[in-house]
Amino acid sequence: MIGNIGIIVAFLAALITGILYIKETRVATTREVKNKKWPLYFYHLHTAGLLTTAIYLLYALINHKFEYYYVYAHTSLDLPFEYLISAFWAGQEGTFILWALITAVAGYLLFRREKELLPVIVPVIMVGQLFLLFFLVLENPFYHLGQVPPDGMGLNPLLMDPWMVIHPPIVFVGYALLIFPFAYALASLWKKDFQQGFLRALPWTAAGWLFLGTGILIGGAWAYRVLGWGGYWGWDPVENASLVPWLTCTALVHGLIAQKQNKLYIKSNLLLAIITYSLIIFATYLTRSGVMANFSVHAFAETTLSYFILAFFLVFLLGGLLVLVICYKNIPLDKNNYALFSRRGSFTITLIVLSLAAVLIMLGTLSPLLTGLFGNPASVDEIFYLQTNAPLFFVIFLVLTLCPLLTWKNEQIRLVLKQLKVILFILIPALVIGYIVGIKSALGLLMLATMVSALVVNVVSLKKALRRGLIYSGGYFAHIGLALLFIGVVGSTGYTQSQMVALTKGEAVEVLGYQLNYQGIVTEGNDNYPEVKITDGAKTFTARPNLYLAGGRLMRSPAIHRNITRDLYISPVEVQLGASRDILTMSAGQSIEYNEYKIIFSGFQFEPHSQTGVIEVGALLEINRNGQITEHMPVMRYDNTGKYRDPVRVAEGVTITLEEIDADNGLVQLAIEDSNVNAGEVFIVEVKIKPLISLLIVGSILLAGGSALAVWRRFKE
Amino acid sequence: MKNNKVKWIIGITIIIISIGLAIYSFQSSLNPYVTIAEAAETARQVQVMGYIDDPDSIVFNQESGKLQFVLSDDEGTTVQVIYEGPRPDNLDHADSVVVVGYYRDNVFAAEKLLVKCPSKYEQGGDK
Repeated sequence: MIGNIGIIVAFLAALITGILYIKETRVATTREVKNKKWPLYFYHLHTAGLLTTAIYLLYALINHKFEYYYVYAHTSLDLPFEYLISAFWAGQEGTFILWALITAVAGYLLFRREKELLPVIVPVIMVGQLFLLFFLVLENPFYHLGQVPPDGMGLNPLLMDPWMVIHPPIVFVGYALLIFPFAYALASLWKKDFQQGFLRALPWTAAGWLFLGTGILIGGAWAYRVLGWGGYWGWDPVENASLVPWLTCTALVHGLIAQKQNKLYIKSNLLLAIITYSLIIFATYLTRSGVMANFSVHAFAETTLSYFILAFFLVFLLGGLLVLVICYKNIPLDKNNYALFSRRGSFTITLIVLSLAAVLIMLGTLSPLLTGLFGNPASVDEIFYLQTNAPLFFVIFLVLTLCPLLTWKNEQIRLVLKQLKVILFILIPALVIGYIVGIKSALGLLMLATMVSALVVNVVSLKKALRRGLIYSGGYFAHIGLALLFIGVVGSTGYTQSQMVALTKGEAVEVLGYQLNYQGIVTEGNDNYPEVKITDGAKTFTARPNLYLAGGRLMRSPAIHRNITRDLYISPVEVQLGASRDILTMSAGQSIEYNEYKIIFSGFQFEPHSQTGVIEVGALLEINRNGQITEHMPVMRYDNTGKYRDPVRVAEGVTITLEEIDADNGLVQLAIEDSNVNAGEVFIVEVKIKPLISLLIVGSILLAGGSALAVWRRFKE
Repeated sequence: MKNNKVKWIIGITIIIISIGLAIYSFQSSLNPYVTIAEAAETARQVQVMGYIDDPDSIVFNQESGKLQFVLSDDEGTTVQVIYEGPRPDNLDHADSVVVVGYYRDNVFAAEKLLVKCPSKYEQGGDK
């Protein structure tokens, strides 16, 4: 009840706030808007409504109010406290509340920094809030079950991970902040204030971009540890859907920086601001509407919301583009006439390449839907993303190598190349090392060369920038991080070795240069750790992958041993309590003693089914177990698709399978399996060696940290 | 002016070649979603969405080092799937699985095995 009142109040207050601010636009064209009280009061009311809803949902989750479907569906009595809180964003209703709440709170920072453009910015934001709140009315988080179940269904065990506590909120901070550049774009088109006004969107864009990017990186770190999520990046629609707006947002951040310094790219920036937020909504549509349900590892609920989320997307995309087209003639022309070989040229190429990458990844993500229009749906393989993005990122690293050496206007190629000579001292050894460790293809070496060059040039430039102050060095840190990250990506995608191996308890096995010795299972509570002693040269350590029951399912988690050059990644497949298995070869009429059984093979029984082309051969067995005689017939069937064997159960845990027959000599081969007799535990694992993961991690941290520095700078300016 | 024209020609040529390469890459990497019967008729890499009706059929074959199980599709056709790689979490509880690979010699050799978990964002529409 309280929660729903909050939703209604927030909805109505958002409506009134929006209308009151729109009224301001009439007066504001001539003089500065005074910070009137009433619109702000309603804004407070809007926030208060959302806050009430959020607090009440949190209260319901913490206090196990299972009468609410949301609480019932996502939590249980035994759920630890941190996951009770995380359950807030385990379902889509909760994520909509979170999204709207963060937007509302961020609004207060807006009121402190912005005055003139508020009459347009606030209504645009309120339209977004109205959509989110409308979704909450349709798909109510406080849906009452009409009864109080004794316990809830629990959180999906895959979501019970420390990352679950921070990953979704970080992503939603990114989502929430990116409506601000969208609103700024429309506001500056209205006010015809493209330089001063629109540029105030830069800190918001940069912050939204930082959070979205950090969210993506954290998602990768999480997926790396979960089996079946395709490693740190699986090109899954859910992942791609957030990568695409991040790419356009990256273009926007760079475009805005160039606009700030040289009044460049005004039109592109307006377009990118509109597109980026539209893509954020589209990502929500793709991941929540069920359109991709058959084409993704992730499961999606097909909810009634899909049409409304589509409407949300179309209103923002078409509305934004319409305003852009109508006001297009007001946008000042770009009068600068700089040559291509200049810092300007490098920015232009960056913007184009990032946008192209976004288009191509979107094309791949939508491939099942696009091909579905013409016939059988088909989706592109990972190779499409690699093939199309590799040349683009080659260009990016080329630009990153040159850009720090260029000035905004014109540059002489000869002078720049002279400066570049220095990097050869590092580039050549790097290539030699690359070749020695296994990069033999010319393309691989070329990629490595551009990345190393970009790395070196940016490290040198970083040193200069640090003299001016840490705050000015964010870009270089981020670019160094990007280069390291991609060297890690190339290393781990292209040069991973893997091997499946069955480890018998107590026997040492040589796998990919390591010596593995399975020690047996150690059980601690719910967790079962099959321990493997690993010897790597002089070092010895114990790997503990985990097999555990959660929510009635057997879950597996890998053991990862990190090293500077490579990760040893051990995925448990299964532990077989090896049943004893013996093969008996018998001729017709023969009898054999096997443990407590006396087995007599009395003869064959053929059953040809000529019409269907199926042939069945049975071996008639008479089995005497301590005087008790039973008859059995294991069967072997042939048809045009192959051979099948139907085993028979002789006693509890004892089966006999007809393995082979030799009809000419009247011989059969029987396999007798007895699971009561333990013939040694076997642990089956997949051992992978993933090179340069540590570089990828260091790169990610530098990229995120550098971006954070850049955001700090933009907010301070 | 002449210099400008050359630039345009170079630029347009690069764009056309890039578009051509992108289209080629797109088409050659497409994996159609097919039924088991359709998979049997083509030599292409395909994806089959199906169900593991009998979780006991999931066996790890120690000799070949491969995971195998019986997959059935919406038409009721079944096929033996062989997959080299770690067993994904929840394989036995999966709503459905998608295998990507080739149908050869009466078995489906999967290069990728995707498991649809019962929940990520929602617990299914049973409310």
